[in-house]
Amino acid sequence: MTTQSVGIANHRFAFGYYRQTFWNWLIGTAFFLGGLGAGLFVLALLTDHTAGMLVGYLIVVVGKNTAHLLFLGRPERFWRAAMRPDRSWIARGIWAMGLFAVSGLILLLPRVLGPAWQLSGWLNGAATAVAVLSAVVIMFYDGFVMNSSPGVAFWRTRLLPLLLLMYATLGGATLSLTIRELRGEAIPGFLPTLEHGLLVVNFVLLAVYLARMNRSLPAARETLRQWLSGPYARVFFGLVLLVGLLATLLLSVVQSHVQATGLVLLIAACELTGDFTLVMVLLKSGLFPRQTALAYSARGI
Amino acid sequence: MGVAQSVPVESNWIPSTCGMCLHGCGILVQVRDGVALKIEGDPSNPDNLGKLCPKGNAGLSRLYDPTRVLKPMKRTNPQKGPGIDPKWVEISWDEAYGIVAQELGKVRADDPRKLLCAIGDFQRILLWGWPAAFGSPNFFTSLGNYCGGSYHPVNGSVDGSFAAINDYDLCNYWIQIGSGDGFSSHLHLAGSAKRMADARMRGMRVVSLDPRCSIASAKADEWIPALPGTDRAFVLGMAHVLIHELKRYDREFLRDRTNAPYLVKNDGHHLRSADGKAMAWDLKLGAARPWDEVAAGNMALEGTFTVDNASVRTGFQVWTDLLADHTPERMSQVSTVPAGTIRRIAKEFVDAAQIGATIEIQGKTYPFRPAALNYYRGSQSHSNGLFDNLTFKMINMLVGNIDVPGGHLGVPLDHRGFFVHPGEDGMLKPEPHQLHPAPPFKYPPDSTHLMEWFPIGFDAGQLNTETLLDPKKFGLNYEPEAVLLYHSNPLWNLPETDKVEKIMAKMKFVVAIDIQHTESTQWADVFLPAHTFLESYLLNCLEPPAVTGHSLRQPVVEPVGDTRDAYDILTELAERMGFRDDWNDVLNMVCGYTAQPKYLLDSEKRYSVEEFWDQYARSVYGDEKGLDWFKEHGHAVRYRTPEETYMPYGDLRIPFYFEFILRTGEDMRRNFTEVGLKDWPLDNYQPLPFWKNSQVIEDEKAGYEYFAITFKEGLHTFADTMVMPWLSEVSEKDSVHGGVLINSLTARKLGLKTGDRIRLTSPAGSIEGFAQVIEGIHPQVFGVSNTLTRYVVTNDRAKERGTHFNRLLTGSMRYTDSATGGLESTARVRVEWVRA
Amino acid sequence: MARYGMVIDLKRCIGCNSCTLACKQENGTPEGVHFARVVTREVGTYPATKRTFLPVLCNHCSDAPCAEACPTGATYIRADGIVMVDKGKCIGCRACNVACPYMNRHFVAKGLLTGYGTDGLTPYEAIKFLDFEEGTNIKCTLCAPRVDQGLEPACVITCPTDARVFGDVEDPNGKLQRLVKDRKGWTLSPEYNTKPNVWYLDE
Ligand SMILES: Nc1nc2c(c(=O)[nH]1)N[C@H]1C(S)=C(S)[C@@H](COP(=O)(O)OP(=O)(O)OC[C@H]3O[C@@H](n4cnc5c(=O)[nH]c(N)nc54)[C@H](O)[C@@H]3O)O[C@H]1N2
Ligand SMILES: Nc1nc2c(c(=O)[nH]1)N[C@H]1C(S)=C(S)[C@@H](COP(=O)(O)OP(=O)(O)OC[C@H]3O[C@@H](n4cnc5c(=O)[nH]c(N)nc54)[C@H](O)[C@@H]3O)O[C@H]1N2
Ligand code: SF4
Ligand code: SF4
Ligand code: SF4
Ligand code: SF4
Ligand code: SF4
Ligand SMILES: [Mo]
Repeated sequence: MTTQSVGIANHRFAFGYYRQTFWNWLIGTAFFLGGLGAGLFVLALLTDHTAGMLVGYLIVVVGKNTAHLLFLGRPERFWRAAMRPDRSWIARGIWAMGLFAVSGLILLLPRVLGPAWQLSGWLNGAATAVAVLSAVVIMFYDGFVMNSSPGVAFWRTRLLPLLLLMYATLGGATLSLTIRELRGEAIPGFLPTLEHGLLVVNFVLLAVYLARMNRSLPAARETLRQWLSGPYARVFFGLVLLVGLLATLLLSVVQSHVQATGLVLLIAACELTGDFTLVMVLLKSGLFPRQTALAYSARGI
Repeated sequence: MGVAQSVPVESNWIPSTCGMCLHGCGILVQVRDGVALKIEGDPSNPDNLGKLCPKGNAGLSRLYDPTRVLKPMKRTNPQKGPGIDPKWVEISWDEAYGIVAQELGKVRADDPRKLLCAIGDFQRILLWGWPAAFGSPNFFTSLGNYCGGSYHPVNGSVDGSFAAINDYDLCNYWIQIGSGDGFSSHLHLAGSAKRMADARMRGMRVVSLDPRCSIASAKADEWIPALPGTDRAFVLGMAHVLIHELKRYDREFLRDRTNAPYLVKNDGHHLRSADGKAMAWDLKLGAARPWDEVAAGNMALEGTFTVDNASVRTGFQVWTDLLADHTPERMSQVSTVPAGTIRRIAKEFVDAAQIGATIEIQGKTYPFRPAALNYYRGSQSHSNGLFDNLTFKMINMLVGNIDVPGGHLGVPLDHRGFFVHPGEDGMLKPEPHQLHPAPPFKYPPDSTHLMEWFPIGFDAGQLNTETLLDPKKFGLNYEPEAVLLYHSNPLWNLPETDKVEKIMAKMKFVVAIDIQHTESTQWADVFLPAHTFLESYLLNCLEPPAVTGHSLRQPVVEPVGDTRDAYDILTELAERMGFRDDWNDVLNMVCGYTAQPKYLLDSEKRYSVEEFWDQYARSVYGDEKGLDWFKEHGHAVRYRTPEETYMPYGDLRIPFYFEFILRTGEDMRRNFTEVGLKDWPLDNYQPLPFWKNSQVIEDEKAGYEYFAITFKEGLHTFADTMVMPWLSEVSEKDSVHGGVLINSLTARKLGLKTGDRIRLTSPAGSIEGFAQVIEGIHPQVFGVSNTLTRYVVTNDRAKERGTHFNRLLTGSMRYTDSATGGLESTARVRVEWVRA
Repeated sequence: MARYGMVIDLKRCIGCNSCTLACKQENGTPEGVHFARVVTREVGTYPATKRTFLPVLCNHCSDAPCAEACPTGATYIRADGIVMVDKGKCIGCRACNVACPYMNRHFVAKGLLTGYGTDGLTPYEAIKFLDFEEGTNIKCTLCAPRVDQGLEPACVITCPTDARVFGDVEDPNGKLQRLVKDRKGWTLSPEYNTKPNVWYLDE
C-alpha cells in the first residue's frame, strides 16, 4: 500500500502535521520586545548612554511584560510562573525579568532623577553586573523557552537561543543608532561595524539553523519546506532575508557615506521588520508531529 | 488538588434503555440533584454488555438539547411551505389537544381514511396501531421499507424470523454484503461490535462487498467493491460456481430440510398428488411419490423426470438450470467484480462451511457450518429486492447453514421468538408480515400506499408520492386532508421530496408529535412536544441478536420542559375524539391480550402510561413481574438458548423453491384482471431468483452514467442526530461525512477536487453538494453519507453541509419491487460541476 | 505503586468514536475540546485502500514534557503516573500546549465556557463546567476521579470492541505488559523521548 501525501491537519482528529497556534502574536511581540529592549539596554549601558538605557528598560519592563500579561489566561496569578526555576525557562526568565527590573531601576534612577539617587560604589557595581547579566539572559532565554517545547521539532536546537541573542544584539544596535541619530548625538565608531557584522553573522546563523533543521525530525523538515517553498517562503525570503538583512545591510553601507535621518529611520524599520517577522515566523510555522507518525509511517502503510 | 468536582459519589444510577437508535441497549443513568450527568452501558444486560455506541454516549445532549421543543405550539402563519417560518406561538396543552381533536375529529367524522399517518417509533411498535383505531390504513413515510421492504418478508418466509445475523460465536468465514452489522449499523451496534471484534480476534475472516470502503470493509480481510444493486449478480455467480463448477453443496440439508427436492412442473407449480400433496422423486422406486411417502435417503435432490408424459424437475434442478448461464464471467460484467474473485470467494466459502461437520452444544448434536453470508439495507433495498434477498438466503442454504451453529441465524422481531407454524407439505408456514396481518386484496384500495396490493410485502410508503398526486389513477375514491406525524420525518425519508411537498401543500391540517423541528414539522399546524427517551416509559425488545427479553425505559429525570409521553398524547387524542375504546381494543390485539383474556384492557378505562406498561410486563412475565419489578431490575434480558436459536423450525422444511410467491402473484393477476387493472406490474412474483436488470441499471441508457448511494455510519442515527453538536462536531471531522464522496480516478476524469460544488441529477431530481475526493469508493459511484442528508435543521453547523440524497430517488412502481413494495434506494446520476 | 496506562488494540478498534463521546459526557468538556479522539485516515489507492483508525488520548508520559515545561507546577505527575493539572495554579501560559507533541493539552479560552447552545448553560453543563476555569489548561486525567474510586476510565468501559485495556503498565504479570509483549506493542512518536504509557497493538 502506498502512503498518501501528508498535509497540514486542520483539526486534531486528522492525520497530518498540526500547526502550533497556542503561542500567538502576543508571545511573538513579547519575545521580540524582550530581545530588542534588553539588547538596547546592554549596548547603552556599555556606552554610557542614558536615553538608550531608558528606552531599552521601558521596552522590556513595560512592553514585554504587558504583552505577556495580555497573553496569560490568568494574569492575576502571573507570579506563579516563577515557581519552578529549577526546570522551567519561563520561570528562569521571570527571575531574570525581576532582577532586571530592579537592577535596571537602580542604575537608571541617578541618571534620570539626579546623583542623590546614586548608590554606594560596590552596590552600584553589583547592580550593573546584575543588570547586564539579567539583560543578557532576557536576550536569549526565550530561545530556551521555545527550545524546551519539544512538541515543536523546529524549535529543538540550541541554535535558537543563540539566534535570538544575536538578533537581540542586532536590534539593540539598530535602535541605539536610531536614537542617537534622532537626538543628534555622536555615534561610537564600533556601532555601525557591529551592526554590519551582526547582519552578516545572523545571515550565516540562519543558514546554519536551516541546514540543521534539514537533518531534524520530519515535522521540522516540513516546517523547513514551508519556509523555503511553502506558505512562509514569501515572508521569509522577502521580509526576513531581503528586507531584514540584505536591504538593511545595503542601506547601512550607503548610510555610512550619505548621512540622512530618514535613511536611518528606514534602516531601523527594515531591520526591526525582519527581526519581528523572524520571531513570528518561528512561532507560527511550528508544527506538531503527524499524529500517527510512528503508527503508520514506520509500519509502511 | 485538581480533582474534578463531578465525581460520581452521592449520585443515583437509574437503569433504563437507550433510545438513540431503534435498538435499545441497556443503560444506567447517573442522576444527581435531578440532573442527568452520565449514561453508561448496563453491564448486567447481556444485550450490550455494558457497551455503548457513540450515539448512546451522546444521549444527554438530546435530553438537554437547547433546540428541543419544550412547549406545545401552534402555527400563526397560514402560509406553509419549505423554508417558510410557521411563526410558532406557545399554547397550553389543553388548547393544543382541543385544536387537534377538533380538526382530526372532523376528518374522522367525514372519512377516517383521509388521515395520513407517519409513525416511526420502532421501540414503541405497540403504538403503531393508533391509525387503525382512528380508522386510517395509511402509512405515509418510508421507514422500514427503505431498508426492510423485501428483507423482512423473506426472513419471515424462510424461517419465521424478522431479521438475521451470522453466528458471531462460531462463524469462521463471514461475507458481509451492504451492511454495517458488527461495525457501524444495523442490529444493536454496541453489543454487536463486541461480538464481531471477538470473532475476528479468534481468527474469523471477513469479506465485505460494498461499493464504498465502509467500516466493515475497512476492517475486513478483504474489501470487494461492486456496482450498487449488482450484489445479487456476484452471489448468483458464486452459486453457479458451487452448483455447476465445484458441485459442492449441502445435499443432505437441501434434501431433508428444504423443499428443494419437491417436483416442479413446467408451469412453475409443484407436482401434486390427487389429494394436493407436493410430490418428490423416489430414487428407489423410480417414481414420483407424495413427499411424505418417500424415505429420507431416497428422495432425489437433482434431476429431470418424466411423469405422465410431462417433464418435471426438482426445485433444486430448476434453479440449477436457471443458473447455467449465470457464469462468473457474465456476473462479472454486471457487477464489475472480476470473475476470478467470484470463483475464489465461492471456493473459500464452501471450504469454510465444512459441509457434513457436526457440533455438540449442551448435549445436543447440530450440523456445524461456520461460514455464512450476512447482508442488509445496502445490498437488497433495490427494486429487485425480493430476488436479492432470495439469492442471499439461498447461497446460505446451499451450504446448509440456515439457523445452525456457525451459520446464518434468524433474529426474531421481539421476545415472542420465531413465527413457527406448520404450513403445507411439511413446511414452515411463511410469515411475510409480522407487523400487521396481511391485508386482503381490495379495489378500490383503502390505503394510499396500496397495502392491499402487496400481500407479501412491507408497507410501501414511497408509493404515496404517486397515488396522492393522482388518486384516481389508482382508483382511490377519497383525498386525504390531514397528516399526523409521530417520530418520523417523511419530508426527509420519502423519495421525490418535491412531490411530497406538493402533497403536504394540499393538507388542511398537520399535527406533529416530535421533540424538535424538522423538515416535516415545519408543515405542522400544531406541534405536540414529546418526552425524550430519558423522560418516558416503555418496555423494549426489538430485533435483538443473541439475546431476548425486555429492558425497561423509564424517566430518569423530571421532564426538561412541558412535554408529554407519546402514549399519553395518542391516548388523550383518542379520548377527545371519542375512540379511546377502539384504541384499547387495538392495543389488546397488538399486545396479544386477545389470546390472554386475563390482561385485556377494559375498553371503558383510561390507562396511564405506567398502568399500560405494567399490564404489558405482567402479560409477558407473569403478575409478579410488573413495572415495579422492572424499575428495580431494569431488564429481563437473557441469552437465547441453543434450542431457541438453532433450527427453530424443528422438523418443518423451509422453502428453497418459493412456490407460494408464484401463487400469490397469480392470485394477484387474477385480482387485477377482475377489476380491470391490466398493466399493474407483477413480474417479480417468481419462485426463484435470477439476474435481470433493474430500472436503475436501465437508466444508463438515458445518459445517467454514475450511481449514487447513501449509507449510515456509527456516529449518527439516520440524519436525525446530525443536529446534535456532540455528534456532528465529531462526524464533520471524518472525510466520509465531508461531502459527496468521489473516487479520485473519477475526480481526475471530471476535473474535480475536494470542496468543489457539484450537482448530481437523477431521473427524479437533483441535489448539490461539495465534492469529497477519496480512494475508498467505486469509481462509478457517488456516496452521500446519511449525516449530510438534512436540508432543514435547527443547527447552523449542520445547515451548511446538507445535501438531500432522497430527492434523487423515485417513488413510482418502476423503482419499486413489484412483489414486496421494497423501494429502490440507489439512483443513477449525471454529475456536473457547479460554478459558483 | 502502580503506574497507570492503557493498551489500545488497533485490530479490535472500529473507529467508532464511542470513546470520544464517552469522554465528552464523562468530563463535560467544552465545545471543540476532545481529550479522547480517533485519528482517521485513508491509506492506499483504489481498490487496495483501507481506512485506519487511531484512537488517541493523553499518553501520561513518564517523561512528560508538558510537566517539564510548566513554570508554575500546575501540571504535575501523580505517584501513580497520572499527569494532572491543578487548575488553581495554572496561569494559562500554554507552555504545556507547545510542549506536548501529541496535542493533548487544551486551553480553556475566554468565552469557551458558554455551552453548546446559544442561551446559556444546560443543567448538565452548569454542573460539569464547575470543573473548568477560563484561562487555564485542561487535559485527559486518565479519569483519575474514577480510578481513585476503583473504576476504569469512561472511554475504556464503553469501548464496544474492548479495544482499550486499562491497568498498571509496570506490573510484569499484568495484562498490559503481556499484551505489549505478545503483540509487539509500540508507542506514539518515540523519537520525542516522552516515554508514553499508552501502547498500541497492530492491526
Ligand atoms: N449507526 C446507525 N445504526 C443504525 C441506524 C442508523 O441510522 N445509524 N439505523 C437502523 C436502521 S432503521 C436500519 S434499516 C439499519 C441499516 O443498517 P445497514 O444496512 O447496515 O446500513 P446502511 O448504511 O443503510 O447500508 C449498509 C451499507 O450498504 C452500502 N451500500 C449502499 N448501496 C449498496 C449496494 O447497492 N450494494 C452493497 N453491497 N452495498 C451498498 C453502504 O455503503 C453501507 O455501507 O441500521 C439500523 N441501525
Ligand atoms: N438518505 C437516506 N434516507 C433514508 C435512509 C438512509 O440511509 N439514507 N434510511 C432509511 C431507513 S432504513 C429508515 S428506517 C428511515 C427512517 O426515517 P425516520 O422514520 O424519519 O427516522 P426516525 O429516526 O425513526 O424518525 C426521525 C424523527 O423522529 C424524531 N424523534 C427522535 N426522537 C424522538 C422521540 O423520543 N420522540 C418523538 N416523538 N420523536 C422523536 C426526530 O426528531 C425526527 O423527526 O429513513 C430512511 N431514509
Ligand atoms: S446501538 Fe442504538 S441503542 Fe445501542 S447504544 Fe447505540 S444508539 Fe443506543
Ligand atoms: S471506542 Fe473503542 S472501538 Fe470505538 S474508536 Fe474508541 S477505541 Fe476504537
Ligand atoms: S501526552 Fe502530552 S499532555 Fe499527556 S503527558 Fe505526554 S506530553 Fe503531557
Ligand atoms: S498553561 Fe498552566 S498547566 Fe500549562 S504550562 Fe502554563 S501554568 Fe502550566
Ligand atoms: S481516560 Fe478519561 S479523560 Fe482520558 S480520554 Fe479516557 S475518558 Fe477521557
Ligand atoms: Mo431502516
